[in-house]
Formats: sequence, C-alpha cells, structure tokens
Amino acid sequence: MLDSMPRRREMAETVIGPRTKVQGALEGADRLVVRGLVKGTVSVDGPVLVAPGGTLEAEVAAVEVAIAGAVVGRVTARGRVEILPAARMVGDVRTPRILISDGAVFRGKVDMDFADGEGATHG
Amino acid sequence: MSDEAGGVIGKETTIRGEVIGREDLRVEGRIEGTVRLEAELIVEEGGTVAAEVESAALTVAGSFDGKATCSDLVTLRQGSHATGTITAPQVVIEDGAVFDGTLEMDVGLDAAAQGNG
Repeated sequence: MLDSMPRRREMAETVIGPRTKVQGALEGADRLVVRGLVKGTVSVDGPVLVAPGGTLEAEVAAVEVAIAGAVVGRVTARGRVEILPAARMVGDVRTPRILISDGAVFRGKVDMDFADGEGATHG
Repeated sequence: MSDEAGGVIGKETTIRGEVIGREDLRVEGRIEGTVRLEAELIVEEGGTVAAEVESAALTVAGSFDGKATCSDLVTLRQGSHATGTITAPQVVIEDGAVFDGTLEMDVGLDAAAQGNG
C-alpha cells in the first residue's frame, strides 16, 4: 500500500512531521501522513499512512489506512486496513479488507462485517 | 530529504485543537485552536489559521486571525489578510497586505526611551 499511495504533486497532502504533535480533531479530504503524533479524532476522505516512528492515538475514519508506525484507538476504513511489518496496533478495526504483515503486532478486534450502510452494529 | 522534515496541512484538511512542534509547518488548509512551534508557521495562499500562535517566525500569505506571539520575524505577504494581535521584535507588512489589529513590536523600549530622552 506504501507503493499504491504515490507522492504525486497534484494530490494534496497533509503531513504531520516527526517533531510535531496534534491534539484535537483533524478532518479533510487530503492524503494524511503521520510521522509525528496525532491524538484525538481523524476523519479523512482519503488514505491515511502512519509512517515508521509515527503515532496515531485516535478514533480514525478513512478510506484506507496503512500502518507502519503505532496506532492506539479505533480504526474504521471503508476500503482496507494494512498493518505493515514492524507496525504496532492496539484497538479495534472495522473494514471490509485487512492485511496484517508478518512481524506486525496487533491486539484488538477485527470486524469485517462491513455492510454498505453505516450502521451495521454487530458486536 | 528535506521533504521528510516539517509538516504541511493540505488544502482540504482542517485541524481543530492544538498543534505543538519543533519543525516548520505550512498551512494550505485550516487550523483553528492553538499552535506552538519552535520554528516557522507559514500560512500559504488559500490557507487559514484562526488561532493563538506562539512560534519563532510567522509568514502569512493566506489569512490569519488571532493572536500571534513570535520571537523572531513576522511577515505579512502581499495579498494576505490578517486580523488580531501580533507581537514580535520584527514585523514586515508588504504592500498589498491587509492587516486589521494591533501590532506590538518589542524593540527594546527602554533603550528607545533613553535615546529619545
């Protein structure tokens, strides 16, 4: 997924740098790259990448989420979630597709019963 | 490589809350709340910061509303729009920038007073 999210200049991007911390609500339609720390809620109509060294402590809603850093919280992705090698994730994931790489650490619940309505409240 | 350093808030992104950092931050989108940077905050054309800002430097090409306290230079570029209070030792307002508010330039008042007296 790292490769499938090309760094095209025309695609607007939000980057939270490695020496930056955001606390609060982040919402938007740009690709989001977290190299630093984001705490709170993240709602992105696009892909989210938690880069190596990046930490997301948040309730996350996005199209796709790729985790190479650390995530603590709840992740909802209507596309897919990819937990890459060396990633650490604690929390629940709700998505129709999930990939967990060899070496990744994950603790939490996975809900792939992702009906196309919003309120598929199983579990 | 320098791409790895610093951050950017994209055009379609809004942050409500607190941003704390030790690297430059470019805002093409929107930040509401508090920003504390030991570096430069750059509000790009089309970007909006409505916040209480403490930073080393501030450059506004878009729009700023709030209170900015900077230890170095504040620049309001041509076409920018700023309201509020700006406190800094050095402030540059370019021709074509709009500023409605209070400027507090901390330029060693004591020395200036002595020079005048």
